[in-house]
Amino acid sequence: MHINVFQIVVLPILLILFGERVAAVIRGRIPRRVAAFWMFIWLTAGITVAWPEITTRIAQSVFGIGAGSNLVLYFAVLFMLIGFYMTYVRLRRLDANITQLVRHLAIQNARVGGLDLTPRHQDTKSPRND
Amino acid sequence: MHVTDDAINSPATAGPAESAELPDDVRRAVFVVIPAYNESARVGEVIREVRGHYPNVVAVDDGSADNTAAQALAAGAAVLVHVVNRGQGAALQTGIDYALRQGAEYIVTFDSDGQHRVADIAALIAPIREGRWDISLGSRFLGGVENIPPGRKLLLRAGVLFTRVMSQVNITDTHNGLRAFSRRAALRIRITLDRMAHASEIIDEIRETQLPYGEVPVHIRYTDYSRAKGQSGFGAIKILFHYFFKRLTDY
Repeated sequence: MHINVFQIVVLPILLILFGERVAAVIRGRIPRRVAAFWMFIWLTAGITVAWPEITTRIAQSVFGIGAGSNLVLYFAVLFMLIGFYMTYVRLRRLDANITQLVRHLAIQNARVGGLDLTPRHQDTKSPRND
Repeated sequence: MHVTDDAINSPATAGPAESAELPDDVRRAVFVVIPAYNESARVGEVIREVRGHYPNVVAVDDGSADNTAAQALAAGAAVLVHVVNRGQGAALQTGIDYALRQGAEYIVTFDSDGQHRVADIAALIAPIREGRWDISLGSRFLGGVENIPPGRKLLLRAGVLFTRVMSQVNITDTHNGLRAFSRRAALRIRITLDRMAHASEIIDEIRETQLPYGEVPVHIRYTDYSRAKGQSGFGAIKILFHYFFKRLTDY
């Protein structure tokens, strides 16, 4: 089997990533389901890097796509888009939670005006610094 | 009176003739919510003017870096401070929540930069009080507008068209911060879009509550000050993105 530079660089990295997940699940740091997901990802990546012909065969027979590398690319883009979407949804939820927190504090600390609030101390520019 | 049943909802409108002073007990039941972000230059003056007619003013300082809160407090408002900036939509909802807790019967949203007229508030409240509808939307295009920059006018017209298409609501001024809600309307409307997309969101919410609403002519004063504070074209694109994302995903 002919090994190229790309494989020499990437395969050890994938092996380390795979090994790290194995170690993590043995030490009980992550649930088995999560470990299985990542191990599957790294294993699939390793196989496609080591034997790229396999992806071409799958691409042609299953998806009708000419080259295996294209199939990998399409899936990578798809997963990235899904990832962006999920991240954005999370951000929105986080935003909503922060707003709720800020609102709660604002209402709890409401102050009713009508007072003379000429600053008397140099260090209190705004009543927020009380 | 036709209200929300049409395919394209053309609301009823009230005339400016109804802008006579409201009785004392009604004015005391009105809470005017004023969101303010770095408005220390104008907010005190605006609050004093409003308080001359409506004693209950709720100013929401949306994480200003200047002394907006101190100015608002000195002017006699109830002041709620967002410790970090959350946007105008969030500030409005904070003010509305507070006003409801204080027993508000009518809630008015009013801008802090001096572009709205206190005299228009009575015209917004009158049809709600008479039971004609629950939500009054101020319209500068039914009323009057001074010194509107042509670019702003075009943007607002686009907003109206956008609302007609997206929300199937036919109103003449969709992005006007001057509105009034009955208590039951305010309880049912929930602003979740923290930033500026809330203007379109409120209209969708109004439609969903199926509560009757109407437009009231109001006057907007554009000054150099308020112009500098307004929305840019780029801001409009961001607003569209936030709005569509919520429509598509409900987040």
